[in-house]
Amino acid sequence: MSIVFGLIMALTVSVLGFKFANKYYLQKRFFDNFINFLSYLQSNLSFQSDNLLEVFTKYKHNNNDFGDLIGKLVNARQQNVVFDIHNELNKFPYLSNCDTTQIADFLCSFGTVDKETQLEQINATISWAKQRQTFFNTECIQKGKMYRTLSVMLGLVILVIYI
Amino acid sequence: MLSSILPKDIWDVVRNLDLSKLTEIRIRVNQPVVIKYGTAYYIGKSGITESKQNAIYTTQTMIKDIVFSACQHSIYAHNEELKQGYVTLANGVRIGICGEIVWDNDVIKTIKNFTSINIRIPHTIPKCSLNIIPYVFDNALHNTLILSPPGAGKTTMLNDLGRQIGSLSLAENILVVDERKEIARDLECVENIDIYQNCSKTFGIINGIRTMAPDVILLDELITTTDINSLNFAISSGVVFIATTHCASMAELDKKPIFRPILDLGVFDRFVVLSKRLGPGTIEGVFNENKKCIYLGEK
Repeated sequence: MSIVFGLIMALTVSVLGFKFANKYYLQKRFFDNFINFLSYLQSNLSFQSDNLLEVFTKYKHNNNDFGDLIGKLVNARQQNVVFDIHNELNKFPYLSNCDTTQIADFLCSFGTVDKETQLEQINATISWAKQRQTFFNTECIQKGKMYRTLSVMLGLVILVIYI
Repeated sequence: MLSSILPKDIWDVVRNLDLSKLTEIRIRVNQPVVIKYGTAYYIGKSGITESKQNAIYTTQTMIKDIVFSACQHSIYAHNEELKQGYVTLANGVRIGICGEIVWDNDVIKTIKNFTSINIRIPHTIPKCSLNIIPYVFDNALHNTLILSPPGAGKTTMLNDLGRQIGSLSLAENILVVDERKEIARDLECVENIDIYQNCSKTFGIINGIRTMAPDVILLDELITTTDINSLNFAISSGVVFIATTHCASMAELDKKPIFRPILDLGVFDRFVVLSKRLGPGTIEGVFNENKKCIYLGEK
């Protein structure tokens, strides 16, 4: 009985640890996708200059948080309904307020300036996003891996204690 | 298309009008919205009105929203048009835009702080050019210049001339150089018409002659010396030109110095004068190379 209980406890602790560490992986993945999107915008604007809706619609993505956000934005534009990007980004708990504001500001202002200024904005946002990506990469390696390892270790310790 | 760019209260009035009579909507900052619906009216909350008191007044935000919607929220994609003071919608509706010009080293970068817009709604009038066809084509096509004051239907006439020349097979290959995406409206369905859109007349004429081997080239609004020079350069290439320009009469054309070189050379041998006397598109007359009237228009 105690072995079963110990196993359950060990598993729970490990899962909690993985869930906690997952935040760092999600942050990293979000910024990977955001940079991918920015590079795509840069390329489209430089060579094709499609309209905003076309650019966003053509953006191919695997199912992920950032891709889903763009999908929702496209739907809202197509149906001509108001879409609060800021509010939508707040649904991702792993993003800081600063990140949310920066990304929302970029997406909201996209399309309101001439091509050169738009490309400058994209370049500046890529630089910022790359800094954040590097930071989250380090966090992911250091904290993410640490929490995962710690939780597994703690789970094992609990299991040993119960046995 | 207008529904997607006009503010709801203006569109609610416009949608109930006979759009075939609507030619222009003028929106100026802090001024009432004016439409040309036969004559000029204001747009009020419950319909068109002659009273300023009942008119809808415009704000700068309203104008900005219209321009952004017309650019499909993508200024970067429409900036080349915007720099020249207009945006053309997909159906040929042209929006003229005034505002603050942003310069960057003597080059126009964009326009901002929009202050007024003029939405011009084009109308296709089928076969409106049939009366002048016998003068533009007798055994062969003639280099023709269509003269009219603004809003008197020269683009509509040019559009229909293109369609008639194509469908009556008066020329084998027709090239339309459509700088502002206005002339080529509905011409895609004519089988022998090639269209350059959104390019300068110089580019269209020179590249068109080199690559598309046209028999006739259609051009709208010869205005600048560059336009005239390009035409002058290409005129000896054996291609027939049908063009338009802002001008109320033959006498006025003579007073335009930029036309002097091509008039002296006798480049054009047909002149079609249009006016708004009996409504847009009234043909005042057709003149030959000696400026002699060979067709007197509607009385």
